[in-house]
Amino acid sequence: MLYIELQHMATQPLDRELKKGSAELLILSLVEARPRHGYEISKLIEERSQGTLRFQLASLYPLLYRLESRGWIQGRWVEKAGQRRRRYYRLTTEGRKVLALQRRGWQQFAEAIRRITGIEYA
Amino acid sequence: MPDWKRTIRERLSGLKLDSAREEEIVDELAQHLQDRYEFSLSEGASEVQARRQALDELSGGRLAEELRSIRRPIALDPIGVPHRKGGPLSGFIPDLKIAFRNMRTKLAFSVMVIGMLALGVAGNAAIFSIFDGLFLRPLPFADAERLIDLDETAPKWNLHFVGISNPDFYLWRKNNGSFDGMAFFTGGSFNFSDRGTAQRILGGQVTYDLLDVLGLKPVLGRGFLLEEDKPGGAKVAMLGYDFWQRVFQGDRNVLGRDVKLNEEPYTVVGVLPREAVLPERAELWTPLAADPDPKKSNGWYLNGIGRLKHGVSTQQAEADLVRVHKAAIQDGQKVNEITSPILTPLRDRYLGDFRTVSHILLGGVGVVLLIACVNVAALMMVRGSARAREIAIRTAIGASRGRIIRQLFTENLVLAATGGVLGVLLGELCLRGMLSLMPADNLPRWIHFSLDWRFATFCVVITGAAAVLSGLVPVLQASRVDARGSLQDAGVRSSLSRGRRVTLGALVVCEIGLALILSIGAGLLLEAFRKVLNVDPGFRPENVISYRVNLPESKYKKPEQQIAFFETLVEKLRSVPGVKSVGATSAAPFGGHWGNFWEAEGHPLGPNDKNPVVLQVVATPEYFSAIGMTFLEGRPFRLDEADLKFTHTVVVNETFAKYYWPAKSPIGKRIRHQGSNGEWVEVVGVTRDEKHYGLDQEMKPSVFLPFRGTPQDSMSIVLRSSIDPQMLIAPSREIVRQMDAGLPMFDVRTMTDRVNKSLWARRAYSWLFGAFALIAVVLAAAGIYGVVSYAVSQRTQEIGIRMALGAQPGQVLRHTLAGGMLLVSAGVVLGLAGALGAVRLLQSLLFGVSSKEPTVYGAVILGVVLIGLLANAIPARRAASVDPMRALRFE
Repeated sequence: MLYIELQHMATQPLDRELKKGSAELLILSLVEARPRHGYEISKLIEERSQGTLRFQLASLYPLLYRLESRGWIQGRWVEKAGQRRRRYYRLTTEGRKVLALQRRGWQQFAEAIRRITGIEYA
Repeated sequence: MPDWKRTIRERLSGLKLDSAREEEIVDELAQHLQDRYEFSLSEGASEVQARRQALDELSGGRLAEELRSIRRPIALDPIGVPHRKGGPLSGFIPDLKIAFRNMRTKLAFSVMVIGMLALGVAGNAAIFSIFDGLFLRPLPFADAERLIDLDETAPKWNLHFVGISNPDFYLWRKNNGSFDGMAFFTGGSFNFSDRGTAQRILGGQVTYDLLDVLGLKPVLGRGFLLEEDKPGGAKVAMLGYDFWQRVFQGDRNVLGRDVKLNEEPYTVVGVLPREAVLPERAELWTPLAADPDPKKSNGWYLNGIGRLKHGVSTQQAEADLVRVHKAAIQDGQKVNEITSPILTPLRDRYLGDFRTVSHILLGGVGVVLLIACVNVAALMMVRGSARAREIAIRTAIGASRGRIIRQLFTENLVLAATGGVLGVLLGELCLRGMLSLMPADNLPRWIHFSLDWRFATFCVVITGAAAVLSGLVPVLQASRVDARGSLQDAGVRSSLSRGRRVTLGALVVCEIGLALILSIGAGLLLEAFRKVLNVDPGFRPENVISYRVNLPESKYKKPEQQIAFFETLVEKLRSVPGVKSVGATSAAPFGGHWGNFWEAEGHPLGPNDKNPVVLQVVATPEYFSAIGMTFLEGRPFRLDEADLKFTHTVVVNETFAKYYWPAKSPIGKRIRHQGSNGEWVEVVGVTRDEKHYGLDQEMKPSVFLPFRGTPQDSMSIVLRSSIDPQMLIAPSREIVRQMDAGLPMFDVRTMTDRVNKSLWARRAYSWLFGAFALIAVVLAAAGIYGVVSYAVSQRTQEIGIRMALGAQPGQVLRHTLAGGMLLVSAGVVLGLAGALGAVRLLQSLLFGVSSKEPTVYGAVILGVVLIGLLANAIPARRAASVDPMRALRFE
């Protein structure tokens, strides 16, 4: 199941806003530069958030399949030399539009928070 | 290396994915687990630790369930980003699609909710439509609320309405100051003949101004003139609209035509509008031409209708007429001081009898509607709670609260609307069914029933609102809590908060209570109906048929002619094969009332004594055996005991005997018409009371007079047969035709049919109420079942743990049953308290059955408890059969 730890941002209404679309945004962002497989995506989220955010298999893959069924990402089996067969996900054209939209929304939101709180988010 | 694929396949086994897709998913996930496993090993974990860490990835949530929702991607669609740009409705269509899909996937639940809504709406809409037709729709007259029924009342005669006498009507019309107009009429029947065809029709004799008072205009020709409405005035007639269409095919040249009524020519001067429905079922009108001379008054027989002046109330008008009436008594104009004017709004007068029944039915319907609402509310709350987790997930992955509420609102709305539409259709069917139970000739003709759309809409809105709102309550709460808490909670298993459990329990208790009240009411009504059916009618209706023959005055004016005709007819009928006995009477049971006053020798009435009206029935001697009456004492009169000059003997009924000679035998006692100074007549027999006015009505004292002494021009012929009584109709017709080809035979019906018809209203409302009670109990049972099942499904894990710790299935069964039956018991107690108060409203319909009849209460409580037990037993058994291993593994 989806299990996002946001222990440092504890106030509830903000929580909701922050989480809004965050899981999708993360995945879409990670496959933007190049195609990645599921395990890689989960590792990257954990590493880059320094362990704050963590996806487990049981929630990651359903989300991937959902994004795929919406046509925002596309999965393909790839066999690389010396490696086992893996399924790589790449961003589709439509996914790119959605990502841009979500990113803008998120930035506006973060900007709004910054203006109010004076806290700089990365 | 661990066999990841097997583990994953186990998790996915319930999904029934197509095999290629499943293989693909298994491959991908297995690869993920393997990556994770290898990573842990590389970090220095032992193989066992690495394996556990990898499997942890699977255990956090419910993979299969997550994937199942992917197979229906739109179902979890509402992410904050719109797919396409569009108008405000753009999101509605997909919402609707999702709603229909969810309805299909949760078919049992949907059917239950829709069924309950439909039942509630249908019953309510149908009954309300009947109520509406009877009491709420305006009469077909202009300014109908100003129309007042006029009558006279005589409490001393034990009669609420006696009719108006000619002198009184002239007096009132002349001296009142409260009415714009006052018209009078009486019903009658005519032998109508026109160009060789003869038929018996009902008609009205009316004052010239009746159309004006009703605010109607003739559709053709003119109304009656004042000079036609005087004794000796021109013989004119107005045709009823339907009669004109039926007999004259709507011919406009009918004006000026002569038709024969009772062998006398009448000129048609006009055609009545459809709305001219008074008197009852009249096919044509003739002028009343009443004689104002008090000396020529022939009793109280008129109906009256007055149109109140603007701003005058019924009470003021009645006071005005009483004033006029009293003044006349003081002037010495009045012949009788016993009667006085009584005024009733027109609708109340014609439909008063149905008012209590309609109110009670409406009350019953309201309760069913309430139960349906409560039930749907409980179901929707349960469902809403069950979806808390889904909502938490949606919230977590980005759906806004408003978006989720909109989606669920749409779903609830679809359920409610489907239930509502179905309910309205079912309501139309119910209404038709109920109307088919109603014999049309018991109701005024202006009454029409059709499904009342405004009320049907009201029902749909009420139940729909209950469904939609109650479905949203848990959702509102769920979507307010922080996603993390809810998800963790949901991870354990979404369950009802204590507060919501209490609310659900309370709803179920209320439902059971209401159902119990309704069932007790229905039980009492049905018990009363049973009692009425078992009433001894005082005659034996089976194998008896009767019909009426009226002799026109022009041909049979002399009493001798009337005696000769009917005695010959009876004589001829006696020889028809299959006839056991045959008699003639002025009024067979349920055949109408003809009253008079009698006194007993040596039993003078004091000034304060009640002077009950006595039902007078004229009969031939064999009538008693033909109708099957029982003689308690004495014998019928004999043919030779009366002639036109003198009546020697009469028969009285039980009530008459008890009133005048409470402790003595009436045989040999003598009676005569009150104040007649005539000869005393000997009582030779006492019959058991025949229930002349209906099985559930009180019987008046009655006197049977020999036909030879009091001949009539209109008699009912009563035949008792040894074969199917219907077989006697054709030979009867033939004999009547042979005797006089111009005489119609009418109102042909078996006695059994008449008994049944006299009971239709009681039968109809008793069974209707029973049907409501049944619906209520079924709904309540469904409510218990739903709530207890839900509780069991919530506690599967807990029950599993208990059983793993040694609880026996029997204990679990008892524990679950006890919880459910606690609700049932509370409902029964609540219902009993309510019933004791509510059934008092039924008292007037109970025909002597006590409103605290213990057998009814006992049976109903037992029934409700048993049904409650059954509704509990199914989920309780499910609880007892929980497999502890499966329940624990489930998470």
